[in-house]
Amino acid sequence: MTKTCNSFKDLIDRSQYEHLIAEDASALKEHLNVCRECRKYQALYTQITKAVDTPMAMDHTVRNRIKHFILDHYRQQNKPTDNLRHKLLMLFGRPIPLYQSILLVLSILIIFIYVSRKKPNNDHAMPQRAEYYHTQSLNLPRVLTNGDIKLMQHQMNGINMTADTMFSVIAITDM
Amino acid sequence: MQISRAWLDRISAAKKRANDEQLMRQIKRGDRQALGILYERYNQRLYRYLMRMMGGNTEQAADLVQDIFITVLDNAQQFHEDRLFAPWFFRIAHNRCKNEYRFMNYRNHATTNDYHLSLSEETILNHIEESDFRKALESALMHLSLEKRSMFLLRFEEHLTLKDIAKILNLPMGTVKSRLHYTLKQLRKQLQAFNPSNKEVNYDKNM
Repeated sequence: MTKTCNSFKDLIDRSQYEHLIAEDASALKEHLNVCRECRKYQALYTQITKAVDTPMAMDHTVRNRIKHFILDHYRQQNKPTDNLRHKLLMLFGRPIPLYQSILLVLSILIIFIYVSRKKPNNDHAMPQRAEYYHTQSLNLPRVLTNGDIKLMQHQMNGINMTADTMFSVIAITDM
Repeated sequence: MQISRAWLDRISAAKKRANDEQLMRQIKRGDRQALGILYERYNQRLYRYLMRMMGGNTEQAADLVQDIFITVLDNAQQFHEDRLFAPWFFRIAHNRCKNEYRFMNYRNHATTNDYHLSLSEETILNHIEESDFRKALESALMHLSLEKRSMFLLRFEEHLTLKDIAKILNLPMGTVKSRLHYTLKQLRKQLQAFNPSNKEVNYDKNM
């Protein structure tokens, strides 16, 4: 089936933004060799794309001013001496969420403290034997000094008693 | 001293050879030199794009270049290194242009819709010389909607692929194709006066 000029013009339009299949491209090429009208049609596109593709230079001083402004902004943004985030970034090579990291470290610390407090006492210098001694020692007769007796007398509000009476009270209470 | 200078030169040369995505990775890590290289690579391209988007206003285009690079720095951490830099960069530029137009519309009550008109007879006569073709084209571009103008410039000025343009404009690929087709037709209609009908033309052998 022979293609009309309109269909070739459509191909010319399409060729401006997408790759034509090999068959269409070669057919168009052949057609352009013989059709003046389609050549003209294509020429305007060539002219448009050439005109658009011309460079537009920014003024040198403006370009440098903008560059310095951007670099200054970047320097302020990154302040490497006092920015912890930046240090973490340099250390790990990827952005680290700062507040989440602090929370994580704190949580780990709290858990560690809690666990270490609950841990049973493994100190062999104070074994259960020591508690046994302590219990035993309660049943042993205690030697009270005069100072102890005076203190006890003082603590028994208003009750005036002699040291002998006090000894007998203690003996009865202990039994 | 000599060794360290040579070493620094080697690092600098390696950075210049690095692609845009590698430079962005270095910028994210705080490399100032990488930012300088990226700026040198993109400032003219961006300026040209903005000049045409903003209808040739040099001051506005320069201000926007600055704003867009600052936006790029502020959002550098959001850039994914497995993606291409150019579409991401031009997406920021396109959105910035859109905001600028909104602001301008608010101030001037101007419209960014298509006029669906041909250029006036007077304009065509003014630009009838071939040397003025570029001016006529720029004038014709200003008659396109912001989106179509952006689409046209990204394709023919920045030579981005249709896939990248679709990403930048957040449109399906088919829509980009059809709109680009329509835009070309529209431009052709407006620039019909420049059709070299009186001259024998050579077809584009590189097609």
